[in-house]
Amino acid sequence: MENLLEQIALCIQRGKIDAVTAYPPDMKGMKGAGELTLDALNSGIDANRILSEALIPAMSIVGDLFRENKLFVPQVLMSAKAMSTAMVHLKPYFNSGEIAKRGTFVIGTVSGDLHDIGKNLVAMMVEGNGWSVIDLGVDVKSEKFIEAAQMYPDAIIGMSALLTTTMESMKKSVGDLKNNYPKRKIVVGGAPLSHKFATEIGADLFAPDPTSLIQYLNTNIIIQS
Amino acid sequence: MRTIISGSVLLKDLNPDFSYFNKNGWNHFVEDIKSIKSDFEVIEADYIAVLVSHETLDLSFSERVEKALFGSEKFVLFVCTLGSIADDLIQKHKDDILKYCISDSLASIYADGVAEYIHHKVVPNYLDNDDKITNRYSPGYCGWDVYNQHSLFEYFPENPCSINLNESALMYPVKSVSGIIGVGKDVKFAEYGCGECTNEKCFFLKTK
Repeated sequence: MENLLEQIALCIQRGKIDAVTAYPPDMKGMKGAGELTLDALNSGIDANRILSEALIPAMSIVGDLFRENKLFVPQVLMSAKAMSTAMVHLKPYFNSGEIAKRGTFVIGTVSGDLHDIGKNLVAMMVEGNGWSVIDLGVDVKSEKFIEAAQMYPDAIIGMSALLTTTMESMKKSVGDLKNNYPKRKIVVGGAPLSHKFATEIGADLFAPDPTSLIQYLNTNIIIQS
Repeated sequence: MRTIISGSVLLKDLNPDFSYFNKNGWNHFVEDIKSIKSDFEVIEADYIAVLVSHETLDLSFSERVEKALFGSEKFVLFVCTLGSIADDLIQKHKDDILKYCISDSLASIYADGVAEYIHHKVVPNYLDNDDKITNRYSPGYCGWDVYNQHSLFEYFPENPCSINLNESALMYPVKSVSGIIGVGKDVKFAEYGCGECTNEKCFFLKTK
């Protein structure tokens, strides 16, 4: 049983999705995260254990290696794909309440900005950590963030910007949201940002990478059933 | 003075800079990149460029763009698009984050390739022999506020190349590029455009 969890974790770290995918070349033909998760469930391993002892630690390692420049974008994308393939089999357990969600995270790219690959990757990694993710998409105006804050009262809000020129939109959205919901936690991310900028605009955290975001989220866990 | 130039170019006839895919980790996905590339190559991108004199131009720029265009006697304002077909090709891969990333990146590379084609293949045909050109600058980059896109679009015919601007001044189809190029006897083209920039926040400098 432990071996199955270790194998799932390895598949996620290496980006091995299923038996059909040829990546990574040295695992060609072997079962991937999808089949092994099914095997684990069929052999009676609790869905919660699969999440907390295989998926979460594996993605945490991937996040750390990415932060240390030991893994690169395509490899992280493959790990995220492997993780979401495993998550498909765990979804029914989330829906039934057997696995408790750690909280809700709302994410969107700010107004005037259409970049979404980083945001999508972050969303997948946060979801793989047991959080419910509400993705507002790209070019998201303040009003939409405020609506989401109203709709999901316990949610932490994430905003992304990739252009120096859309950092102003982020400043506006953070300000507008804080004016309406002063205590709401806001995390900002994106290549042009910095801790200094995040502090200046009133955000609660600048997350330079998915790992720092997840670490922060996990200190703010609200178990939802 | 106002000269309007319009045309189209097949993406397979361009030679854009694909070096992004030479970076670490992409070597395992050469076949995926090749296959998605072949889907894009059949697209015919449309462009419109308008040549206007210094006197007729009324646009606000960032300090950096203003400085770079200094000395221009004429300006080329351009817009180009890969069309909605490219947006559809990207959306086709929405559920596969790797292929989505490849197709989005390829489309961006091709869109920039079309802008490069306008800049260095089309525009020179409409210039005087001793005219020189600057680098090209787009709203949203080099500190030039994206909201200036609305003013820029006033120089083009309505819905140029079927491109629409939304409230946030973003272009749809998404894989479109607009911008300005300065023209004059004494203007400079910086071979390494980003090389001289010191904006530490810029995504392009960070990923170089």
